[in-house]
Amino acid sequence: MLVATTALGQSKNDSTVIKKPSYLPTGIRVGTDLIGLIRSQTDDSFLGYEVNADVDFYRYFLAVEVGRWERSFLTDDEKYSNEGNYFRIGVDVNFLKKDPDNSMFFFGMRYGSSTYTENLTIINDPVWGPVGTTSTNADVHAGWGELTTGLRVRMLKFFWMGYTARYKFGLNINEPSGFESHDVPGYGKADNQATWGFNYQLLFRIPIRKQK
Amino acid sequence: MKKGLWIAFFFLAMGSCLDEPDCLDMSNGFIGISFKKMFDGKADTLVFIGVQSPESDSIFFSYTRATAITLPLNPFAMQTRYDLEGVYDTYFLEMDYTLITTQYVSEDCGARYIFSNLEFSDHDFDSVKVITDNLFTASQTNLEVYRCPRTNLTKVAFRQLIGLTEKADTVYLNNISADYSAQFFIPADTLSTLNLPLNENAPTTTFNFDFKDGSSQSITFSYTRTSWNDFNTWCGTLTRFSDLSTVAHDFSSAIVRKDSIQDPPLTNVAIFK
Repeated sequence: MLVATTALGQSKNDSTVIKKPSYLPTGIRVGTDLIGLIRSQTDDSFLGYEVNADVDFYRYFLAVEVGRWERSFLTDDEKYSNEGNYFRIGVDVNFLKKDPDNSMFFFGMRYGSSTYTENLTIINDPVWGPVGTTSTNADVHAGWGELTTGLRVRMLKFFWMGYTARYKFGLNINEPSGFESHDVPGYGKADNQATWGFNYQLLFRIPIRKQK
Repeated sequence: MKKGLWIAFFFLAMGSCLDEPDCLDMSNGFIGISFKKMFDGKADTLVFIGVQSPESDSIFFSYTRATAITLPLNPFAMQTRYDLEGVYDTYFLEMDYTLITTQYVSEDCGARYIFSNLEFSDHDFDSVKVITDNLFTASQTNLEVYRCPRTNLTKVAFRQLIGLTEKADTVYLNNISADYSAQFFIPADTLSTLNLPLNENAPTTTFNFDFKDGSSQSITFSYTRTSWNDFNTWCGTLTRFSDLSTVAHDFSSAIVRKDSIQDPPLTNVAIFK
């Protein structure tokens, strides 16, 4: 009986036609990071948004993310502000090739780049009294790498949800001496040589070609 | 079900993203000074009335005993001066340095400052030894300050007899004065021992005690003075006191226990009130 089943299976495999994968893109997904939008409403020190887009080339996805990030802290002693723009570009590889909904579980990598300006005004020092000095870090450029993983799940016909977890590393800041960055838009605290990030994304897929 | 899990995961993820900054003091703008006695190199306990910088209203180490202190550098100037007012002496210290970088840390911690090129540019301590001009974030000693021997402090101990047993007595002191211009350190209203500075320019010194009960009593010491040049390089010629004795007093009893002066002082005279 076992031998018969095996023989039957072998016969079926032999008759399967292996389709050559198509690397032509079938659609563009465009969306935004929900965490950034909610945080902008709930955190007085943060204002930011991020636009995400990816396009498929079979199981490979070219991903581009563009964002803006502003931070401000005001106490009796200091006033700090930071504003800048960033982008990330990279590739995700989908490991759910045969999902009927075309859902996606991926690993990928990114290169991140940020340009920003920081201002720090020392209003008062607890020891040295009223100060009123302002330091500016203008047009600072920072770059870093990311390893990413996440999911994309189709919720409605064109509506997708997903998350991206990021391990950010290798931060390199090109800044003038005299003022060290506190926060890098798109990356986070500049003191962290490696850090984690997380996006929860709402995406709309615009089909450009019928999937085979 | 699948969508429900997505929503639950979303709220978990939101919580994990609202990170709070670590509040660490990452500045390196602190100078560690330790105080030593010149004659034995051991730690010296200084009694500070206060340490102040002309650029700050803050008073550091107000009425504090310390063998070492840490003082901040002013990040808004290229030089910081401190005046260290002790009970018996007042010194100053000036430091030059360069502020290398400033960084905002957090709302709780404020800004941090990184300094370098520290130089102890001026002081009037008896003697100093620069241990390091490097600045670190951790507690460290940058400067050792050596003090000349203090040769004129005689220590009196207030004692009482309970039966045949001698025990420490506590006195409530209002004021103390001498027959010359002398500085006293009275650590508290109530005390059992007291250091009294002998007059280097006279063979006797009289001290008047005003007690809180309204009574006043006095004691007069005589002594022999000799020149001492062992620390001539740093301290000049010092005066050594010996053959201490009491020539007059109106206490019940005053017994000389040790007739030479030590630094730090050892009990020279036991006074029975």
